[in-house]
Amino acid sequence: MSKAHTAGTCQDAKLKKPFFDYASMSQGGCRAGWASEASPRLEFDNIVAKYRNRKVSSGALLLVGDDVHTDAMAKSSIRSGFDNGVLTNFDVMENVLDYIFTLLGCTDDRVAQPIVMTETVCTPYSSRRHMSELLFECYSVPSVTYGVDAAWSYYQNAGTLNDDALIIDTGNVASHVIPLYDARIHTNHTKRLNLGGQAMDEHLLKLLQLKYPTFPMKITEWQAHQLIDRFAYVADDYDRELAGFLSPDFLKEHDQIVQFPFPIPALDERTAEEIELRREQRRQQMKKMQENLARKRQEKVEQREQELQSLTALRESKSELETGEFVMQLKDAGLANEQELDAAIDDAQNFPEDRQPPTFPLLEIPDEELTDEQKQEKLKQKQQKALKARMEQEELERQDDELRTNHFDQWLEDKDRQAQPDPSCTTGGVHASQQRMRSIADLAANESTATGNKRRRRGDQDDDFGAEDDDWNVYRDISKEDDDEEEEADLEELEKNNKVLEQHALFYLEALDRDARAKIENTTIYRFTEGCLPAILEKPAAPQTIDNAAIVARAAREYQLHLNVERIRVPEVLFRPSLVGLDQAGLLETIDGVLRQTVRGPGLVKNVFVTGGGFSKVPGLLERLRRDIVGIVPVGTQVSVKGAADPVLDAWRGAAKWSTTETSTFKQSCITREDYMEFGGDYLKEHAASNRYFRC
Amino acid sequence: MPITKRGKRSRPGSAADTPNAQTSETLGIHNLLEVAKPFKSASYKSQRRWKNLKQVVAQEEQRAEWPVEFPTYWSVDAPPSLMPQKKYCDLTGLPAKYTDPKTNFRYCSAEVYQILKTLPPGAEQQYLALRNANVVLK
Repeated sequence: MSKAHTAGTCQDAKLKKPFFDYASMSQGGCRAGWASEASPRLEFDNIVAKYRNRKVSSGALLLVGDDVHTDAMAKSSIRSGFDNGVLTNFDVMENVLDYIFTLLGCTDDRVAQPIVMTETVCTPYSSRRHMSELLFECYSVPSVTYGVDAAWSYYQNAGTLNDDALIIDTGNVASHVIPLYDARIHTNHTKRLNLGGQAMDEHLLKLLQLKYPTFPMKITEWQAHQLIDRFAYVADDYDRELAGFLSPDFLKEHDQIVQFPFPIPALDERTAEEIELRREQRRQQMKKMQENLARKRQEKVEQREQELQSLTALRESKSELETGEFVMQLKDAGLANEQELDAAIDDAQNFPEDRQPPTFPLLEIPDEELTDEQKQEKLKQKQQKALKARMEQEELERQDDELRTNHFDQWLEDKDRQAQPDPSCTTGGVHASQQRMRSIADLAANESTATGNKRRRRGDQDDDFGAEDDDWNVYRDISKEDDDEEEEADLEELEKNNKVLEQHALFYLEALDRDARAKIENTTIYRFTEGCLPAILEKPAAPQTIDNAAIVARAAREYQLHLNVERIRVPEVLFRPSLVGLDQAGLLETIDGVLRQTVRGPGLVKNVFVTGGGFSKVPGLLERLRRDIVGIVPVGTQVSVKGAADPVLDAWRGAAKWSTTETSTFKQSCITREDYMEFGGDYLKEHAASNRYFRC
Repeated sequence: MPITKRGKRSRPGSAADTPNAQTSETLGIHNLLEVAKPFKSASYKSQRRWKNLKQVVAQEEQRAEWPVEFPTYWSVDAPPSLMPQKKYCDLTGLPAKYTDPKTNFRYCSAEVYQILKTLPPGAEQQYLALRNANVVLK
């Protein structure tokens, strides 16, 4: 802290009236500053954390306000001085006041300025007593003035407290309806609703946790608060809006998607061109291989042909040649005698290789039993087999195509026949169930004949079932394990049929998917949890092209929240506390009650003022209040509802303005040190914006 | 440390910041244990134990004969509602026509009832807890 700056502030302050305001909210925060200034200098969360941290030289830390959020270690030791909006722990408050006075630059041996403070409506006496005690005994302040924040907020906005008005103050944990007339607020006709902004945060958090039980992130209360801030609104006519909220048209405009940060899944980074290039390369390779094979075959055939020619030439030359010469030539050709020559010619003519289907004997033999050469041969055979299978498949498809294009009727008939349940296909299941029935029947028969007879004769004799392990197999026989196999067969069948459809009637599969999707999307629950987004089918019938964008979008959806009904459901708790299980009248009923009690009656509604950091900022609240109030007051009563310019800061500003402009009233309502000594800590000097005081 | 208008202190590294070995100081964070508080009276000792609101109010009620008209913390509490309570679906929040007699779960359609049937036993209590209607075993 820069010294010069602090000193300057302090000297300035001595000429003016300093003013501190602690907001009566556990979470709502504390605002403090000099009364002569337009806005509070300090505004922070009303919390304190005292904990040990070895990184700091002294080993212990005491942080106040927003400082607490700078250290994750402080989190578990955060404490607030408030209990349900009422100040109860004054050790915490002492820390907060230390913080305020330090930051505002008090360097004297006492706090020399009069203090103005807000307190909650009808605060318990002990709360005020401890506060006064702290201020007078610990800080030696000259005087203190207490008042209700909502009244000062009204003063800031209207400039006077001499109006007739109905002040609605929605705090963080409680809301109040306070009538103002005869130039003062009437706390005796005030009602408190134990519901505030915090209830909205908690309610939304619980709703979201139940709505998305498997959500991968932890949703914090702070996040819930942000969601309320941005998306919640008060419905003009709750029941009507609610009934139509999940209808597609309305939902399209009112469903709010909240995207949480999500990890991007591993992606295929190649571009479409690269993929196409790779595919093209593979195609080229395949073509080259096929060409090679064809050439080799051709060469082989030619070689044989040549051999055959030379052999036949040799035979024909027998008559022309002498025996000796013939035998010589036979030997040159590698043959022993004439018989072998005949056999060789026979062999060459039959030329078995392309007529007989190739066999792949080596494929059956495991690698271990083969020599290296054989292994290579095996590899070759493997490739050949695959090639052959592919060619066969292609041939089949070509035939099928041909049939379809040229004789469509016949093709269709074929398909129909294929689609008929194949008797041989289903016998598996039937057979299994028959077997099962037989086992059960056998069991029953055994019971009545073999063991049963014995039993009848000698009632107490035990049969020896279970003596041998095989006996238990009977349970396996009669159990329904075959069902899985049947199902698998069905699935296989389905897949096969799907493939056929995929090739020839993709539109049909797409229509199936569309129907399935529509069926899911039209359910209330789906709209509730997933809004208007298209449904993701677990097993789509039509083949899906999943590109990178789709993968990312799908991953993102896992981390999405949809706010729809919650947007109006959560703020509605103010009007229907039963929604959160609170056994109190809603805001409107409370207003009605207050209007009936006060002497001014419904006349107050011509000036309804809404303030406080809880619900006031929720859009639509003022309109809803106006609409609802019109419904409870006599016909023709003028109703006007206004909100505070700044529902949070206006209480501070109003108090500052009040203490500097209404100086004589302010002086009269200051509780001085003498008053404190004389009347005790409970003592309160009443004024227009204060609670009531009763001397016990 | 200069204090800006809305109480947000200046960022670390600004000209007014005095370089300090202490991390907490350079960040503009105040460890109140290390700050001099000349304005405090040395003789003041706070009481050690603080009662919670319930205890405070109970004690206060006993304390005096409060006049009937005098507003106190407990007397300004809004009374229970006298209006009939509308029923809303515990799952979706939509207006609910039906109630499951077994669990008292309110639901708006057969579809939600299907979901209710698939919930693990006891899970519906979490929904009921939202409106304090869950069964609490003691």
